[in-house]
Amino acid sequence: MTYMVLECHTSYAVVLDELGNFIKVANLRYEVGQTVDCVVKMQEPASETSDAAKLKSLTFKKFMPFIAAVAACFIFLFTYMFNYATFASVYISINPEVKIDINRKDMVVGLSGVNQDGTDLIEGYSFKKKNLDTVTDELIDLAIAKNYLSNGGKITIELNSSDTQWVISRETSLTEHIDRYLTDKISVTIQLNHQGSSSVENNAIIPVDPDDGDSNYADTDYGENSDGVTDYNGNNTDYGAGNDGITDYTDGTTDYGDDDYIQNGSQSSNTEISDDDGQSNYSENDDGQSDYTENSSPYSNDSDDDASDYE
Amino acid sequence: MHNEHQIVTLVYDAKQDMHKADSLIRSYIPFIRSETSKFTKRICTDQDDEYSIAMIAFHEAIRSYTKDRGAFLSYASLTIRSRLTDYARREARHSGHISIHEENSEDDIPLSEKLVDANDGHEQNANLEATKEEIAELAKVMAQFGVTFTDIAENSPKQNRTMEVCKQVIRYACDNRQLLDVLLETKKLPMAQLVNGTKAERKTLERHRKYILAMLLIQTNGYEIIRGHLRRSLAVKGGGQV
Repeated sequence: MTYMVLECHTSYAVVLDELGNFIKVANLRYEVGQTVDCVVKMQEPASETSDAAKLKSLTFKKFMPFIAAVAACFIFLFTYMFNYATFASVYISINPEVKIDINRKDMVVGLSGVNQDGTDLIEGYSFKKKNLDTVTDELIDLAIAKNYLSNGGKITIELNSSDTQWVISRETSLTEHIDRYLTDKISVTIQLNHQGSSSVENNAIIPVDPDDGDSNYADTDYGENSDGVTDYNGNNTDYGAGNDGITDYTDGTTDYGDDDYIQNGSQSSNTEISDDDGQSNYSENDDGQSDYTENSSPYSNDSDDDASDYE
Repeated sequence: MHNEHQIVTLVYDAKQDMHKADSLIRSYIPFIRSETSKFTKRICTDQDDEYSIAMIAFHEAIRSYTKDRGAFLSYASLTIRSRLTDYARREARHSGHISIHEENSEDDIPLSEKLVDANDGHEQNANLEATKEEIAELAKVMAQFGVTFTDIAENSPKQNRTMEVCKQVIRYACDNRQLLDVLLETKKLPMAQLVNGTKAERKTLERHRKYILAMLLIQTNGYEIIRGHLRRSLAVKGGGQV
């Protein structure tokens, strides 16, 4: 192999070998244009590559914090997306309308009132670490407590998610859940509202607990025999003993003032009246036993509401 | 300490720039000479091969030095000594021979062929002036492109595969001589045509742009001696005309 000297410097020379490589070599008193047989190559490849590698690793080291930061961001982002990002929204509207944002694991991640009543409803309520079912239940309780929801009320539920599968599965389960939850409380209509599509009515009418106070106003037949004739209109308002045509309201022994009637609790059954003086005059026989139950009078079942009924 | 910092700065500057490195070396010639003398145990003259080796070793030291390697001068001293040791060992293999041509330990060419080569060398040395002119001319043209031989040496493909790709490109350009004319006219590498013509990676070509440029310039008219020197390279590959 011969090398042609192309350029000479104090410390090195550039030579061209026969294969077309330009090489830096030790300048052993070379002259430009000279052809030489052997050269002492500058150990550049090795040192340069190691240099480059070092430089690369240095650069890497330098950027390591940034890379770590970016990675951390991604991890955070994914965690966030999984745990905090809204995967679906549930709109519950009674009259107060609220929007519940949930993540993939059905955990509630956001709660906001859609209208003013909704905002009032959720005021002071914390949804942290609760799942959808719990929040729904508690909100409904709240709505009942704040007199937004009562017997015969209607709950409209709308599920909003990009995942249709989820919407379909949740529609059923959520409705069933609310149904179950309300079974022992009040009777409401639960309506499912599909986004844009036709709505499905899901009626869940549940036996009513008698204290809710508004569903029975229509039935005003407080008279005997439950004959459908409101006895207030006629003169036969003889609730007193013996059905003698004499209204016993004035006899001074009436128990209408009994506190039991005023109580809101559904357990204040009429049979407890006699504990006052044992002389309930409602019944025909005046036997100390209230006949309300036997007569299938509306008092027993429906109209426990003292306030409206007797005063 | 302050002095040390200064030299470190100088070394770091010299890493990028071969000319700065050269001038740095020039100012450290006494140091290099003393290191060489310490190694050879005799007074070092400019004629000693060891001196040149020490110088290139110093150059290598500049290139490979990093701050975490301690003081530069002790690092350079170490590099020089190890390079001189390498050189001495290589020389020792030929200790039985006298001929200067035996220095080359890298190829297995028998002595007879070497002697023929040496004759060729003599012939070429006769043409030394012509060669010199050619190289000077080439250097001038390359200067128009803002390229020196040192740049090309830095830019030379180091991998065989890359070299092969570059050769392919060069052969393609030789087959399509109008590309060479375009190169001389526009002072720009017709990169798009080269990429299209050879299906080579554009990135590879860009990386070795200077090398390809120089090789193409050599293929233009007027560099018969250099081309003659390169004959083997392109002929071996069975490529285009030379």
